[in-house]
Amino acid sequence: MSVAAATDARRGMNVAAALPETDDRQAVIGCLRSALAALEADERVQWRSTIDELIQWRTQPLVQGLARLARELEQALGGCGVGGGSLPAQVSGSSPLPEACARLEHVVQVSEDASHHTMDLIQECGVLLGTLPGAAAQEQAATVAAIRSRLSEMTAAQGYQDLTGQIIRRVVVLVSAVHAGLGDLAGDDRPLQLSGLGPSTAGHGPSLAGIDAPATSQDDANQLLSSLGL
Amino acid sequence: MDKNIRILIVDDFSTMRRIVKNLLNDLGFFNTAEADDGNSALVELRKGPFDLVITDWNMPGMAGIDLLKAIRADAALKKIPVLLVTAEAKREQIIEAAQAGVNGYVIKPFTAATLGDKLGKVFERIGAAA
Repeated sequence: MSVAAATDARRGMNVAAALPETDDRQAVIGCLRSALAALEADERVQWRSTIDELIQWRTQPLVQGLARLARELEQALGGCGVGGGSLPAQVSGSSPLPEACARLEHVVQVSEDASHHTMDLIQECGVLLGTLPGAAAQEQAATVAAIRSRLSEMTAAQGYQDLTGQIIRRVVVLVSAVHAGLGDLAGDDRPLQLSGLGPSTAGHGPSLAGIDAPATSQDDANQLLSSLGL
Repeated sequence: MDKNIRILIVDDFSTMRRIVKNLLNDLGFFNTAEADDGNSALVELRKGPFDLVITDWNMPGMAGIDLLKAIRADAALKKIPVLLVTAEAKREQIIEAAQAGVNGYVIKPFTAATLGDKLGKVFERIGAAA
């Protein structure tokens, strides 16, 4: 994104509070006088027309600045979508935003591969345990059972990949929604639509401490379900 | 408890499907099938008889809560027990799931012991109803 576009946008946002430039001042004064005259004469069409003109003067630099920002951001974000696991070929040497999204997807893929590899090894350990000589003997059975129990917990612990993956994909979806919204803005002057991140029942993913409301613990959930008759 | 009951595991993350499948294997249950969202789960459910559905909530396509409601609204499927295994841990979500007819609710991250405990309770109910 260029400094010029950001400056344009800032200028646009500041314009609401700023006095008009000297060149515009006479035009604005004329417009205001015309609006006052229309109001006093109860001429609604003229009143609306002059007020619209004032609003346009006030918002045009803001809209122009945002549209320019949107076009540049759209170019920077181009190709940043959800899904897929590999780094796209166009990433190298391109702007940093699509590269960031591709790297996030890559993290999801690498951690998924690592989790599957870990579970391959856990399953192999389970098979190897069964080949221990004398594993069925009374004195070793308890130890073997304890190891199997820990292998099960190691399997469950691989759930971190699902939890972190959900959070990363939520961020990628959000960036994509901003991208789509800004794309719309670049084409016309409709407001950003950031609410369409999926159906309302789609869920929110894991709660993050300090960001989301505290998550219900399993014990609290059990109590709640008991109170509901489950 | 019949260890040959057919179980459908629904999650968009292949890691989590495998975790649940492996933990079921550890408990002696090997007759499983998998789906990656509610829509593909309904296709599987309509293909053949299942005795239990273990589903995530937050999935692209059809979410787990909508899958639960679809199962309860389908005359041929409505009696299948459904266990939600999910990171969705808001009180109102748990209540919504209970009102929709969920049979158990496990919050991620979970331990093998917790999943085993919840499965045990669901299986007890299946056994009692049989």
